[in-house]
Amino acid sequence: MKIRVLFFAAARDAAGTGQLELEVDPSATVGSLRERLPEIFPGLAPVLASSAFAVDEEYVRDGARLHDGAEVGLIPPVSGG
Amino acid sequence: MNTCGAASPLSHSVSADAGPIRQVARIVESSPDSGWLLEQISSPDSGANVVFTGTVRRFTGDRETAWLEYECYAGMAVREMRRLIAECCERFSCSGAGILHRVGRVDPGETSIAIAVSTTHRDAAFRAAEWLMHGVKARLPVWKKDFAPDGSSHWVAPGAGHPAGGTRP
Repeated sequence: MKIRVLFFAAARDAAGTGQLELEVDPSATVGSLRERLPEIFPGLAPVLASSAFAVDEEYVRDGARLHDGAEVGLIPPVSGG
Repeated sequence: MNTCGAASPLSHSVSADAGPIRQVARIVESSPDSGWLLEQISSPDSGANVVFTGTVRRFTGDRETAWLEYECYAGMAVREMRRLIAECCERFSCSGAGILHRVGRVDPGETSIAIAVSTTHRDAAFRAAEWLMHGVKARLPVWKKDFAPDGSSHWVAPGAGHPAGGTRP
């Protein structure tokens, strides 16, 4: 199945792109995506360690399952305000 | 959606024991208008309103900021604002609450954020405003890049760790 991963701020700088279309296994979880991303973008590893994920615009834990067409946001430490 | 600038209209939801809760959740590209925000969320039935505005500081310690560049995950930022406002209104029995967060370049002295809350009495209003602003800082998917006078820049990363603490298993 296919998902779209969005990169913001420091994560976008580290990945060198704002988004990525990715084919993942139907059993894929946020945690498995977290492990896979550094294989695609080695520079992302340090950012990933302190980042959260959102699926379809809502924060999720690493155990959350992905679904076909999911929009996955990689959320580095936020600094709004 | 990963572009900024989306704005959501003023929305109302109905609370069980009072009138409609007045809510505003918007990403804006110019200075947030706190007076307008207060007009939208206040009501004759509430006697206490707190408005908070955040402005860009020129100095953090001895490091000078020439300007900040804010970016957001627009769709999620507005949704997360709405979740924060709903939780705030539930916790503090607000009759209204709103958030305007600016994106793009913001110079020292300019306003980057305005929040407002409206409650029956002032103690709840102060606590609600503090809670809401803390939620913004901890959870809103918004980031700022700090540009120094020499043109160098870095993403501001507060020591608080990742947002919505406990998003890791």
